[in-house]
Amino acid sequence: MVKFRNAGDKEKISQASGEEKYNEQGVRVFHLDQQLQVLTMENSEKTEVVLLACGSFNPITNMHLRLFELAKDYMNGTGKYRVIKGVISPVGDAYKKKGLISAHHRVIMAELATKNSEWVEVDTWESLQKDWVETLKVLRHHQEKLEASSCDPQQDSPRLERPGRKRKWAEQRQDFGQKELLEPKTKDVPKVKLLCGADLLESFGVPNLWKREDITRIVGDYGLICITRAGNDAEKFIYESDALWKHRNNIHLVNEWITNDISSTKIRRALRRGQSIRYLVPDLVREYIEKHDLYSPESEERNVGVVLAPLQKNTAEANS
Amino acid sequence: MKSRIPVVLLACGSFNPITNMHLRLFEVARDHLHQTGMYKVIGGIISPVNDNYRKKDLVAAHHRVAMARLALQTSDWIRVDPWESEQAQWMETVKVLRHHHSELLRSLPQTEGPDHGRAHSLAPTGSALVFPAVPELKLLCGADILKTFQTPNLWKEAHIQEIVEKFGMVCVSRTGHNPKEYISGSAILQRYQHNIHLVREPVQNELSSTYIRRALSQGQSVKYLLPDAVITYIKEHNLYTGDSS
Repeated sequence: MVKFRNAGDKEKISQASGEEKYNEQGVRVFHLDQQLQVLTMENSEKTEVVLLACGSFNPITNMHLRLFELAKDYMNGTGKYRVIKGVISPVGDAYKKKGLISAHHRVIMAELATKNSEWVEVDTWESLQKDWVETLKVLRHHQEKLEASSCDPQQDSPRLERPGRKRKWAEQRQDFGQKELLEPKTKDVPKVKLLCGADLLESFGVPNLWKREDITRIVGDYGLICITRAGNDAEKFIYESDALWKHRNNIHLVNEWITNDISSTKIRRALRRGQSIRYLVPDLVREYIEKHDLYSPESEERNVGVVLAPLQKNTAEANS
Repeated sequence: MKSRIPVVLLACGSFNPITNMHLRLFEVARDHLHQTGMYKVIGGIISPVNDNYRKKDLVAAHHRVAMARLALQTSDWIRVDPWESEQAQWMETVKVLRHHHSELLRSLPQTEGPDHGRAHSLAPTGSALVFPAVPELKLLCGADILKTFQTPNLWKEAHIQEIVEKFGMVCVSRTGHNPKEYISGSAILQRYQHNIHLVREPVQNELSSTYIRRALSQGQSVKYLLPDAVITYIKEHNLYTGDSS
């Protein structure tokens, strides 16, 4: 007599077409690899996601870090996605925002802040570019990086939450055969999505800050996960934009039920006034700021009178 | 040279669990008092409430004390005191204030004689203040506590008076509360308003222990809302999982 846990399992196992073994009682026994195939099949129906956050991070705060946690819980909770990595990409100095201190420090602070994170890391590519880089190009850079490492099973797979499984997954892929390696496995390549607050979404409306085509490509080709307190305002904003409305299925609004208004601006202001920023930023970041005396009335005056890089670039192109 | 009045801040509450918001209260209050030029905050005390308070979902006091202790590991001026939680029954806030005030007096250097808290020696010149002044113990709380003074039968009138007259309060405002209104609506509070320090927290933060408990029971992340060491403790002891205890 053959017993199965449930009917669903039977179908999945026969698809795997592994060896069928039975124990003394006649109960089907699953080889470890077959069990893994069952598990990974359920998981492989989910789209793997990498959350990319672009911004000044001047400095990084607990609020920035919360965005990642909220987004991950939300995306994983839909049952359709599996968030495998978070990437913080601090903007380059060429952005010329008022009060923006050197990328070198902002990167180090972000690294200190994510030291104890198992899945969020810092990427310096954007900050190392000589000129300011459009967000769309940063998204493209990271997506291409993922695709490149995905085609070659010998390279490191994107960092998974449970490191022990990584090896088995790579071994298993080799079993699928030569043919799979030649075709780009679009289903298996993780998708990069832009993580942001509502302020970025609404900045799409600022004249000359974004190129229209860029906005369309960001929401069309990649997708947006927007953490917001005022869900109604964000929904309205999407409704009033044809480009956003068209790709609304690719825009995930995540409600932040509690106001957690730890903005970098307020941190810098508190520091100028000799007020405590404890418990608003990770301790290591606070200690680094104190040690290097990073924020002062002078640092806040940096780039005063200078036009923000995207405004400069887009206005020039519009006028040419 | 005018010397500042030393102050110790005492926060009573459930701390179920302690969060970054609780810790922020202390930092914000200290900054405010310092910037008045009149005070020097020399210490902070967290006093978790007794289990017999019987608030819904209140986990055992020894856990709440342990979590507060972990949260304060990196603080050099705030400590947790389990005295209130170790008493046989729940006690009114004013009694906790009285206890900690007498403890403060007992720990002062010149407390041998019967005149507690009074200066014994004069400086040679007879003018400048050289000996340590008696620290004041102030109740640190959210501004919403001022509102609860209006709830019938929640506080004894005499206690409210003692709190604002003998001790003093430092109230940190939260969104949705107008503390000046609560003061002007009460004769006692108005009379002692000089002893009620209203502090604006510029970083609006609705973070509450209730939110934390709900998120935990739903399996959601609470990282960066409370210290990592507290999160680890909660996981290790299986607290706030939503199973009825």
